[in-house]
Amino acid sequence: MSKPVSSRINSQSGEVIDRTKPINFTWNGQPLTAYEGDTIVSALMASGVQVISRSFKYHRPRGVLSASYVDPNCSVTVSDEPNVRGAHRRLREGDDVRAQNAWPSLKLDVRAVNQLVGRFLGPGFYYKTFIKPQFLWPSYQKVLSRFAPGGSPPAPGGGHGNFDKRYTHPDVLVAGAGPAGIAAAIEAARAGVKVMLVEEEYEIGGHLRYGGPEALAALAALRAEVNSYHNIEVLTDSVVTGRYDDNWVAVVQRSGVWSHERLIKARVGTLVVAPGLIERPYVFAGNDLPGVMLSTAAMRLLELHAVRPGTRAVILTANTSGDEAVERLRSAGVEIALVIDARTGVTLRRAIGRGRLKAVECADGTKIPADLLITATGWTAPTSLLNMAGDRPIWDPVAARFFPSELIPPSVMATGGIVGDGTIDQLIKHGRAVGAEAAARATGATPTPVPPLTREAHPALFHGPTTGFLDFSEDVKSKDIMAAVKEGYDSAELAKRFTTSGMGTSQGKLENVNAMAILAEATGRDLESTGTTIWRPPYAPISLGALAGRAFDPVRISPMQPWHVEHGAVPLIAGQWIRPEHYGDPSAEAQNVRTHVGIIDVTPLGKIDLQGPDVVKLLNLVYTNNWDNLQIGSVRYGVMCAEDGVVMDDGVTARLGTNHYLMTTTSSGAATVWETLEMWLQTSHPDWSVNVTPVTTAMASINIAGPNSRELLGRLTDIDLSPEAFGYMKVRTGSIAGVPDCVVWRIGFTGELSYEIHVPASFGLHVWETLLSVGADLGVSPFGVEAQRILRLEKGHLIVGQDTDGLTKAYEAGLGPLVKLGKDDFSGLPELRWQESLAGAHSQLVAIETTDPQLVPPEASQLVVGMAEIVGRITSSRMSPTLKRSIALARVSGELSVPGSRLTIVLPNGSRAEAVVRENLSFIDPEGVRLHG
Amino acid sequence: MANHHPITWSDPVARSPISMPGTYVVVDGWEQCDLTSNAAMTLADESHRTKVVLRATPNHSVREWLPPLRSSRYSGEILQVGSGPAEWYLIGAEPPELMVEGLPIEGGEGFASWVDVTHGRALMRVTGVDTDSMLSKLCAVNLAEGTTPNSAAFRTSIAGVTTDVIRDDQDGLRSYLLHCERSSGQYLFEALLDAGTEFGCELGRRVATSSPVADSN
Amino acid sequence: MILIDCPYCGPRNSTEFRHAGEAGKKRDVTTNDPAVWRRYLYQQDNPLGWVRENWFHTAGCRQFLCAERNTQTNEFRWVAPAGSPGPDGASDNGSAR
Ligand SMILES: [Zn+2]
Repeated sequence: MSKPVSSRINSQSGEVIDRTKPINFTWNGQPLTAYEGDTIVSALMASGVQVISRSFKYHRPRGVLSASYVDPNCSVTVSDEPNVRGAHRRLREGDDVRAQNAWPSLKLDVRAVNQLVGRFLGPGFYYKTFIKPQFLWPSYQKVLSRFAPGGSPPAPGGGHGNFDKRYTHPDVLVAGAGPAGIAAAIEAARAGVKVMLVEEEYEIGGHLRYGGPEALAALAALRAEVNSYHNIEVLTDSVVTGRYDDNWVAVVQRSGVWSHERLIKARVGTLVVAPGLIERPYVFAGNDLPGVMLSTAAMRLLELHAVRPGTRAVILTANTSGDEAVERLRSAGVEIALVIDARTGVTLRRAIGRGRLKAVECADGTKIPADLLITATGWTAPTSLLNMAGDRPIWDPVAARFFPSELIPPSVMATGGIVGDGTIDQLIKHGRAVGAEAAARATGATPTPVPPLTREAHPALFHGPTTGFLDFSEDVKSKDIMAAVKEGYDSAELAKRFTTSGMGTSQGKLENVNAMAILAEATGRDLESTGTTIWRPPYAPISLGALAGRAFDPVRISPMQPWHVEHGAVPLIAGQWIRPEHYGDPSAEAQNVRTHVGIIDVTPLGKIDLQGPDVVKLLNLVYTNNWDNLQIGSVRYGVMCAEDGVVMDDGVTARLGTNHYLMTTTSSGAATVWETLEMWLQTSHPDWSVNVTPVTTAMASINIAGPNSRELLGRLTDIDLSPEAFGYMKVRTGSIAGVPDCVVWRIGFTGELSYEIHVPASFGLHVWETLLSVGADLGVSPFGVEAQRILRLEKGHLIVGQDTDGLTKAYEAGLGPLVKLGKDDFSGLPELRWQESLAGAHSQLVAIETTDPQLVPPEASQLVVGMAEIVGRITSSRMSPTLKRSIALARVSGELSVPGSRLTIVLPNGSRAEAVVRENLSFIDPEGVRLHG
Repeated sequence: MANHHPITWSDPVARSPISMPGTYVVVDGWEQCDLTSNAAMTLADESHRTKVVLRATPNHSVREWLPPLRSSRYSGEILQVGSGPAEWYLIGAEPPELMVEGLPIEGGEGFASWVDVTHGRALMRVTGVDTDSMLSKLCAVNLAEGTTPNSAAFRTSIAGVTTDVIRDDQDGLRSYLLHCERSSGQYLFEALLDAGTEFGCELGRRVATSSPVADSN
Repeated sequence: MILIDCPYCGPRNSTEFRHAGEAGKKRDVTTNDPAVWRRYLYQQDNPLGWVRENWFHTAGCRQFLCAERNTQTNEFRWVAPAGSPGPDGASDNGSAR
């Protein structure tokens, strides 16, 4: 190929390039230069590059079509960022720009053979291929991924800077800063409300930017007015991607100073939709050849970037935009070979060329040599945001485009080309009226309708006498729609799914109306009754980075967590909590508790302070057991069930004073229990006086467990720990290691003599370190959650959520003795009353021993009888360091829960093992000698 | 029972849930960071302040002494905050017993009670003209003057943590006190600092000057 | 995202709340008929249009609220503390749950 020739022309009055600032970049490795303000594509065009990409399916060479964000042919890779909209993105110094979908090169693309195997990738391919048979999917996937569209994702860790998030509450948000949108923003601001003006392009102005001297003068005046209002926030290179319930509007700010991309979540008073119009391509043979483009594309290249899009042009025009393009091209030195006025009913037959436009064949067969073919055959109203607000646009056959219906809620308004036509002054006038009304509505005024813009007649033009490309980004041809109809996919939504028209990078903005028109013809209907597909969010693509953005991912730690980290704790992530799973050897940690004394940080344990004369009533309502006679200084274990009888939580509650109790919950259940208490008090018993205060993290909680625990704690506290003064299930308050106001109770989750201490959290680290320093001679060492799990399993204590699940009723967890059906009321009573009458029929929690003492079956292993009948599953399973054998808890069906029952365990590798049900849940110390010592 | 062991331990030191780079000194039994800054935006840890939560039934007379829901005011040195329909926070420097001393909690109709949550809440202060913009990166509540003027109080989700926010301007400069349950304190603090980087946020207490903004270092 | 105008906190995003079921269901704890109890537990009217329901303001005032919402449009026309008489003044006879 010949060396590209520069197509940069003389300075244009509206140009956005800065000729004093050259920019160096590379295109597929080849060094090129352009100017600051150039888009990637204008820079390439200026350097004579015409083929920007290869198409998605057939790998056909493609050039500029719309020269705007939605241009389906201009996706490129910049450095390692794929799918950059090259007709939108401004060039930066040193950009490494590469073509996509081209292998091994843009000029010689092996995958262009797809053009020969069109049958394989014909219409409905995806639709039909993935229906069945499912087993073939992986093979299809392998084939398809080699031909997949788009660029490659960036390498892990590559990153694209800072993705941010922000909330805002503008009274009026204007989507689109053309003349009407700018005017709406100005007038809303004049009313004194907070305004956000969002523009997809890098500058405000819309079509005024490339509309000639009169438009530029109008724009300058509007700009000055915008700048005079401090209450207008202007966001350029930003796009409104969606409108949701109650005017929740998503905006993606692309080139913020601070962040690479920022997702803005706006709660808007009145949303003004002013996106303007998108020029619609025309369907004919050869319409995807580089050199065939829209009139607005030509004007953008000429006026904004001073790039001449060709040297000899044919123009097919049906409107003023096409007529203007003729004049602009002519004055830019482009030879006008032919102007076809489509308003007279004349059209063209096809574009001719191989890889590049060479000639245009007229309806009469004449072939006009040309390297540029401009079409100006109509407009598409991008009604997405209105659709999202509930609107169902209506086709106007006179104006030949869709218009909003009456279904728009009063909090959403529209102005500009999307609602009508007019001169610049008329558009601005309408925008101003809408802006004033939007501000009034945002401040609570009764909605008043704004007089509409007029509509101009426009011929309905969709395609010529030949077939061509309909959807450039998905490589869908007009004849594919006919094929879809033949196969019965004859409604708008079905045809779209069948052909994938509108599913590519332009998302229907360029092709949808043509697709519907062709569908209407093929089915013999008119466009009004064919309708259109419903546009859903997002309006424009959003990067995953922007969606992920600033992650709100809270982390909770205890006051002792820094100590744990320093001492080699392996972290356990439990919900938001980070806790020590163990400090290296959980088995040794567990053994040390049995032989000496261990301390564990149990701060995440839920703790709720309850005060008031009616606390006992509340306890009786939420727990299954009885709380009438709990004495001051005592603690009691309780089980909570949901209203369906399923075990919800468990824990101990202490009575600290006449009207003062301290409840504990499981770590994971703390929030649910708190809410449950509030629910009962607020909705069923508002007359009860109970003040509920969560104090989980106000106290650092440490469990001191083991035969030496009394000796260890006794060295630090003024509380009398003698067994006579402080028995099992009692609570005392006092000072520990010089810290006053500590709560201590004697309970035994581990099965050992143990004290759980709750100290004011700021002193947690002090008490923890003091326990370790004064107890060295007693063999004190820390233990983690894993050792605690082993210890409680040896003792046969269940964990709610581990040994129970979302269906386990109290009786099935062996908690029957704690359910007091004689009480007047408690959560789950009617269900549990019925469950009790089924005694023996439901499954039971049992302890089991494997025949092979060294085999530790994985948790959740199924238990079966015979070959396949499932009779239960293992809920907890560990190697016991105390007994030197495997121990487990399991849920089994009622008849197999009797001691001595033999069970078969199915292991993950398919093999089976035998186990027997034990007499007692406790593997060690079933009599509780250690616990009560 | 441990008489044969000479058991000693160091004096108790209270530690904030928030740690930051800087030198720590013990003041009144609390470890405190000595960082100061008068930057355009500053973030400081105030977790050592006493915090008391008080609740009262609708018919209880203590309600008349306390600010209504969603507002705050100073009673002497104590910041009183109406944080829920039947819930108040008292924030100050005195021990908790002294903070509630003047309030008629006992007796009368209904029931009222208080709990010292000094150790259960992480408390931080962020100050500067752009603090509303900074918080808007983490918080969906409208922070405009009309909805949350000075002394407004509200509870909402900040960076995913349920947080009590009190607009408490300092010498005419926009300032917010934020407190959340203790275990999320470090996370929230870091989230605020990160969101504030864009606005030049620095760590440390502000030092009183005639013009805090102008004297920023 | 739905905006719920909490009577205590003002307008807040629905993510701050938890939907707490349809309001006005009768909880008869004396029943011995499992079918009656399960109807109370599991069966919802789920109408198309206006429904009275409970919401819990998890991240705000932590109050249970009663609201009337249109299930078709997600419009709220009334939000009040749990157990409040309805907007028409008619008292909801059942428990507010
Ligand atoms: Zn609320």
